[in-house]
Amino acid sequence: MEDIGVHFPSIWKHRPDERQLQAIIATLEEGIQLWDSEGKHLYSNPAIAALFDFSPDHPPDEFSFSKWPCYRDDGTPFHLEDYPVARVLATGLAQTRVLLHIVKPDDSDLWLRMSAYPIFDAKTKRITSVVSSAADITQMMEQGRRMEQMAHYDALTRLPNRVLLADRMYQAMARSQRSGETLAICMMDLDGFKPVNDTLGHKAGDQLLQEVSHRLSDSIRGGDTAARIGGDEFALLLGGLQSLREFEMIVGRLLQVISSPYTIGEQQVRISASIGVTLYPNDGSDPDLLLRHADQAMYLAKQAGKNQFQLFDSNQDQRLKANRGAVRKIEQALEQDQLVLYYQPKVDCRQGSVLGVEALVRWRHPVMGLLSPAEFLPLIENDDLIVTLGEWVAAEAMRQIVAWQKEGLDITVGINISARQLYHRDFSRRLREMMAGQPESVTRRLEIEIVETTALEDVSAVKDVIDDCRKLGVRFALDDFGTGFSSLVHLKRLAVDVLKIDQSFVRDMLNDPEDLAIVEGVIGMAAAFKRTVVAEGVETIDHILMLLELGCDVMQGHVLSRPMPASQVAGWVRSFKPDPLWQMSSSPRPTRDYFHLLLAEANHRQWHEEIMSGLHHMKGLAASNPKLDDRSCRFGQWYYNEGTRRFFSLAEFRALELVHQQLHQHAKEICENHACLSEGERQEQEARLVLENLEFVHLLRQFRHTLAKE
Amino acid sequence: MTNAELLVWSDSFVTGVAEIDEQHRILVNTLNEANSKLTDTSSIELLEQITRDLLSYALYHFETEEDLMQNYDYVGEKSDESGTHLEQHRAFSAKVVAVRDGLKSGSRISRDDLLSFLNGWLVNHILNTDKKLGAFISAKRGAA
Repeated sequence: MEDIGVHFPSIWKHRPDERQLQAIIATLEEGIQLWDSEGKHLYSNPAIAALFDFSPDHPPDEFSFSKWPCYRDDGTPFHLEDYPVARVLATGLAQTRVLLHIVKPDDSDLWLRMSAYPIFDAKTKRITSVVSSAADITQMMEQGRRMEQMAHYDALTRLPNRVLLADRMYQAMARSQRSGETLAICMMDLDGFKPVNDTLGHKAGDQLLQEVSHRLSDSIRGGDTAARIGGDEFALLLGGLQSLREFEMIVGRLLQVISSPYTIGEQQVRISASIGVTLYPNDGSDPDLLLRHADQAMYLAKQAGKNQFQLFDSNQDQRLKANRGAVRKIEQALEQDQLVLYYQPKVDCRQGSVLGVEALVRWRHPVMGLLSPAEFLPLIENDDLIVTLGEWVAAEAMRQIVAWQKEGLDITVGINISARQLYHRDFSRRLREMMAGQPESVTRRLEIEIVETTALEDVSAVKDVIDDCRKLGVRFALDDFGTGFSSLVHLKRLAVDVLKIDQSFVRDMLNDPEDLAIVEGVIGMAAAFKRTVVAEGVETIDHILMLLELGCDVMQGHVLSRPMPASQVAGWVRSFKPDPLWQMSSSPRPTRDYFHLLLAEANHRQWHEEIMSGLHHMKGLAASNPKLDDRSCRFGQWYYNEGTRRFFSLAEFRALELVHQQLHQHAKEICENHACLSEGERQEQEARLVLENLEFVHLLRQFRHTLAKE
Repeated sequence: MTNAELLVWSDSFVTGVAEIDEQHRILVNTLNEANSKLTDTSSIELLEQITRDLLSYALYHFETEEDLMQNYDYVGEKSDESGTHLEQHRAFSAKVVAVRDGLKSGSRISRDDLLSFLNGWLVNHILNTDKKLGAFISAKRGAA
């Protein structure tokens, strides 16, 4: 009696005889074979012949298919000695459910699930033969493959989808870590795909996507991946890069390939691609973040004009984050009432009266103290937060107008509104809502100063807003007038009441003839267009006098008052007294000559201050400095040119020369000998210089009065 | 200034306070990037972007440092050092604001002037001022 290596429970009452057994085996769909102890073929049932295309007349000699390529399910080759029958013979152990992938001569796949069992001699316990079974599971395997295909590949383009991309990324990143080579992760978005879809239809769009996919697959190297991750978006993994620059060539080629023309139906179509790239392991993020970084870079490529690639820049990313963080901080500051309005008076220096105040936002920072708007507003100028802030300012200013009116103080309050806000479609509606509960006595005290006039690109949109708000009684000012290139256009088209001369011009007008020309120009323009003009940034009495001479009466600046908290404004206005010096300005209108004399005087005052401050700081001017020369200093330039031409006939003018020369001579001596003088000597010399200067200024004033009387 | 003068982050910049050092790296990067991108003919937009980044940096980073100063009572224990420190912070912001004002009125700062100010300020501030603060905080943290 022979024994089969496994014991099947006998469920049969009837023991079939050999003929019956053969009949059973012959009808099995599973192939059954019997082998001798040497591995020689003894028997095959008809199913085997069908599996291996044998005719029953020519039974296989050895292992049926030993000449056909055979693989395990992981794709590694299946060697003859691993064949289940051979394993049974070698080990004496049953082999069950072994998967074999066989490629038949006609290139078709055959998947088999095989088992093999030893049959032992009952006495000697030696293998007498081996029985093997082979089930054809090709259909099942192919179905499984199709399922996998569907789960991992995009149905339209047959490129890997997002799921497989994730898997490929892990593999590619692991490879990069092992090899030390760079992996480029790219996101690609088609430019101009939507119009094709819209004009030629979805079918054409699909065809285009398929063609793009073919081109992508053809353009990347063997181990690389091109995946479609939705719509017209693709991801690319380019591995094995030796240098950080190598990806540029590949991506450059891809751009070229994608942008060459397509023929869809009868139509020729052109599109291009924007590609964002990040490099692993330089960018050492996780797969999700890597894709997001590539996506950000892709967005930048789009913004920069499409049909190009951008490399993700982690520095820039860090800064963008910091900037976003800053916006959030300012937002919190607004929520937590850390922002306050300070008010800077606007004074009519000719009338000697306070006209109003400009509201300026300050940040009472819990750690850093009081911050000026220039330090934090630029961070939100492109964010919608500037709109929220503007609304807060408007509401706060109106609340303040009401509060002051209750105290008996009726002044105009100017608020700064950015161009971005004016463009906000709800701006005038919201302003109207805010004003709804207020009487006109309040709303007509509100003045809106439009800042960043350079950003006023859409003048007609702004014009509508202004016209809207003016119906509510609100006045408008153009701030920073003179900066930017389109000031004149603004002035002509916009119904503004006030022009504010930018403080940078006012501040430098005494030194810089070009700035002075701009100030004069703006004042002239305001007069021509019948607008009120306000000078900002007035820092000295010289500025005031000069501006009065030029015909600008309303001013704002440190010399009048710095911005102050609301609580101090009423007191300041009550105790305000105009400086009697302001009356010195000639009236009604100055002559041009007089004006230049005034400028020369201001220049000289500056010269003197510079010399004295140099001496105080123990350095003095170098003796070669042209400012020490009595003809090269700014006063000298005026005196020996225009001054001489105009006024040489006047004795008061000629009297100036000698004193001026002496003043320069002494200043020069002090500067030259500064180092050798004792402390006492130095003080003495400096005192003499001050006295001489007083005498000179006195002579200048006398001359000016003579001129004014003429 | 040429590209050869890019600042290279080195141990000499390390103050020993992790949160400060991390932010300093960002500033060094910002500066180096300005150095390689900026020319005297660069667009005003680029200058505005660089100065805006600097303001954002100032807001973020100075707050971090000044917060630490308060928490560790640097102000009380080293009033001279902390006074100088705060002054340098304010001067930095004031300079950046002045540069932006200049852009507005058409007197743009030259590339070299901006970079030498930033380079000078940064190197001096980190190597001297911040390191003193770093040593102070490190000592306090070590003792705690």
